[in-house]
Amino acid sequence: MNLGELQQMTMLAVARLDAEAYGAAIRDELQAVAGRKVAVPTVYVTLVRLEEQGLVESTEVPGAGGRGGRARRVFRLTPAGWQALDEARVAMSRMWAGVVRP
Amino acid sequence: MRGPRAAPGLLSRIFRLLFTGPLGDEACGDLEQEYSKRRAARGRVLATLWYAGHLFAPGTWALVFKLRRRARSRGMGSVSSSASSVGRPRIEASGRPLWLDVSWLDVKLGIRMMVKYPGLTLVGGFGMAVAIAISGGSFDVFNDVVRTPPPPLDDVVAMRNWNAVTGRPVTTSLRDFATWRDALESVEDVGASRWIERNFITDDGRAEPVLIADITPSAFRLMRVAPLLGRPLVEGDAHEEALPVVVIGYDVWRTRFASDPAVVGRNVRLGSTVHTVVGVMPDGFAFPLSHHFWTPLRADLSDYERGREPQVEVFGRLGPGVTLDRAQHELTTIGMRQAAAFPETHEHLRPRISSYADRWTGNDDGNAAPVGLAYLLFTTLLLVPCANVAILVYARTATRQGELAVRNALGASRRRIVAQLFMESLVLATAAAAVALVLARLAVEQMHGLMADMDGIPPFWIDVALSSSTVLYVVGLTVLAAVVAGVLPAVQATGRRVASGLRQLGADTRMQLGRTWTVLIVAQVAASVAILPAAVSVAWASVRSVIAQPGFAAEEFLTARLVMDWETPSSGEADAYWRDFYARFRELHAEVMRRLEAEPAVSGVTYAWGLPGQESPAFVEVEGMPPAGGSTPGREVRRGWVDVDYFDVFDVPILAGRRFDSRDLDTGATATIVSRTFVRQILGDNNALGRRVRVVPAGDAEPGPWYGIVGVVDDLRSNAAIYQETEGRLYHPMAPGQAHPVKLALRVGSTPATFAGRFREITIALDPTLRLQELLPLDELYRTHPMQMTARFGAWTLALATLSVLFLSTAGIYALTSVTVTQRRREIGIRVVLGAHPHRILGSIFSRAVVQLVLGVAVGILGAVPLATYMRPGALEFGIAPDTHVVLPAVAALMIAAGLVAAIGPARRGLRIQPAEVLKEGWL
Repeated sequence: MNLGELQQMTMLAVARLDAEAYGAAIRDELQAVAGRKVAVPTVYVTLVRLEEQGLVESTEVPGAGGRGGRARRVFRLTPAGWQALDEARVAMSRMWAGVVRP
Repeated sequence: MRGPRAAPGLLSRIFRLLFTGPLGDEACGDLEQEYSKRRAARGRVLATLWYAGHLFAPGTWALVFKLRRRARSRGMGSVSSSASSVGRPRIEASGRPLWLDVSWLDVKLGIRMMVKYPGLTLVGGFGMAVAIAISGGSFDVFNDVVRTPPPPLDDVVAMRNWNAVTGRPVTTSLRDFATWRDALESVEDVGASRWIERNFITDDGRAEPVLIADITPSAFRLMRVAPLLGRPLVEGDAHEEALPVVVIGYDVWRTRFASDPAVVGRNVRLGSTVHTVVGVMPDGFAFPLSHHFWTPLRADLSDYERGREPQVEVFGRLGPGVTLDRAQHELTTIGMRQAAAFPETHEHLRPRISSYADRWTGNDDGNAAPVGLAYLLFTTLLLVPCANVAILVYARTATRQGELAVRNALGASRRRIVAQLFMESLVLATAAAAVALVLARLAVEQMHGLMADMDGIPPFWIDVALSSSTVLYVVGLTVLAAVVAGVLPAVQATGRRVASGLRQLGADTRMQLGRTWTVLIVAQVAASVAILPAAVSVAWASVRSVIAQPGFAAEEFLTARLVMDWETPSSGEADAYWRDFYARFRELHAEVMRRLEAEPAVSGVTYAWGLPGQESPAFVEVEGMPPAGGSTPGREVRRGWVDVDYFDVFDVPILAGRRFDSRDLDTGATATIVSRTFVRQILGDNNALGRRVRVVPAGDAEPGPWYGIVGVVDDLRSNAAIYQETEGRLYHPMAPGQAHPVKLALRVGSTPATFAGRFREITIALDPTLRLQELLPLDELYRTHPMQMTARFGAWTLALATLSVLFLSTAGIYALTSVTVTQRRREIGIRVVLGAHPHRILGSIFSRAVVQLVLGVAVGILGAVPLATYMRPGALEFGIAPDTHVVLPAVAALMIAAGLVAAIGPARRGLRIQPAEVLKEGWL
């Protein structure tokens, strides 16, 4: 499966955040780690697309603190998601192999 | 609960409406949280801008569609995209706004319906577009007129005298201005202006007449705008011994001085006087209306007798905290004092104060139209075509019962079906609104142009472009149109009785609304026959009157009004001034004629007090004929004063007698020439030569002298709607300089406009105080006259509106009849199977249709005759002679024909029904 750059980064953010991978946290992670400023709706559109492709899944967990105690939807990678990420990394590694910066 | 830093409520609600489902809630929560953070860090304004900016972000809309598609695909059944539109299954959404039940799919279905029913799209769309354009355009112009102008004009006021007896405004004198300025405490910077036209002549020799505001320097304080260069007018400029100075506007500086930064100090000529430019006002500055030249108002009251002072416009600014009512109270007190002190001039004068904008938009008469009522009227205009479109949609919905039944059986609620039908209408209305906005924009430009032309100069604060509030209004109209044309028929078509029948697939799913259909057909035909003949005949008469061509070769003439600059002389010098003025003008007029005749390009020159069509109305009596009788003092004619060569230059044949010659200009000469129509109307086609005629004024005044008719000429008519020249002409000879101003007409071949520059050069070279106004080819003068353009604009608008209603009515009758006959398909089928003769079946079908149509026509005629009688006097007053005798039968025939043609198709299809089909359908 071909993943776009934003999709890859979003999935990696989901993986890094583990049990804390909800929308706002993913957006913060993208900005803090990758330096990518992404609009709130864009994060959710990406997550919906990934969910439609079966690469992530979400569950609602009871809220605590931060969001006024409201429930929030936490995302995690599906096995297919992990596989797609692996494939992307391998493809990228292959492409980098033998590349010599002049 | 919204905390102290909660997101703005309206935006928050919008996002919550857009983002549906749990994930949407999550996104909304994140947005609000981010807003709170930003607000704490960067302030409310920036945070709100950031928040609102998401409405325009592609990501937002991508998410909206994603979430909606997701909602549809989850647990709400499948959606077919077939042409018959199996709908989204039932949404348990009681309490939700109707529009939340619509989706992008509905928009696509709406577009598909427009393509599938091109007749309804074209006829209905055209009707809606015309109605929305008229409503929206009227709204925009009305808003421009009633809207409070922007600062610094918002508390600027105008003052003028009104005659308490006639209830009309009267001119305000310089003395009144001085009195008000000195006495008023509630109004500051009271100033005055008068407008004069002069030739503006620069060093390079270019000259053109320009409008100048002769104005008190207080105007510049009032407007609180600093000059771009130099200085504004100051009090010292108004002194008698001060050098003449002028302040120019930005556009003048840019176009006539090439934005010369050293323009201050340069000399320009305004008429015969050299003025020094002392300042340039910045771009956008204009005052009192759209003036761009300002000279100091110099007038010494001691030079004028009471009642002989120059006339001025008075303005000022309300003092801090002063209301218009308080200022009016003070002004009224001053006015009463004036009336008591000077009853001979001020007994009936009542000064009135109004907002500055109201003064120039005609709203200072105290009879301003109630704003709400006006808006209601504009909106109501929409309802007529929308009601017609609703009938079309109703008829279409009736033909789609099968489709609706399928959707209903699959679980689509009535609400959902109504939502979809609404959306279909909304798509049509939106397309119509897009066309309407373009039409309204063009119309509003035209109307502003006309308003400007009629007042001479447009108020600078009025914006020609459609305002944002107009666009919003049009959006509202669009939704209203969609509700009237879509929701009402949908609600009716999916009513309980019908809906319950629809739930069973295979059952008879047609609407059993026989009586309703009959009533609809009769009502539609009756309304059409009652209203359309009068509307069509008035529209046709209006259009015919505005497209009529002049009765002579107007396109070969260049015409202008020759004017000479004048001042308001002081009372002691007035007689001598005007004697010298007319003597000078006589010389100059004669010299202009000589020089023009010497021009090789000019094949003929003549002059008149008024050009063809512009002759003044008068009442006459003929010696030896009985008085006219009735309420008029005599028989009505048009009276013109013309050059002795006038008829030769205009190629008007002499039908009897002779033309004018120089002897007719002698003192005491009484020769007059009349037109062919005069002879017909006044003399009953009897011999005119030698008859004597005189003008009889209204009231008790003595009749004028007798004139002897020496010739009869053919009619010379402009045929311009505004002149309404149905009367005969009575011409008098006129010597050069006898009237000021005077109209000149030059015959210069096929492109008269090319001689305009040379014409101006000749007059200015002779004397810079001579001005040419309305320098235009004669046909263009007729065509572009503001009143003519108003008439043309009105005529075409009326024609367009009438045409749209005619189309809609015809289509409505066609659709209704077609549906009623289609509904009888079962009956026709059974009768065919039972062996009824086709002629008898057809006879039955058509006889019912004919009964419905003829009944409608009969009811319509009952309304049409009184309506035409009622409208006729009003129409005649506008020079329109509506003739409903021809149009009424034509409209009735058209409606009946539309109904009968509509019945043919379904009737023929009914006759082709096979017995097997009847059995299969279970009709027997």
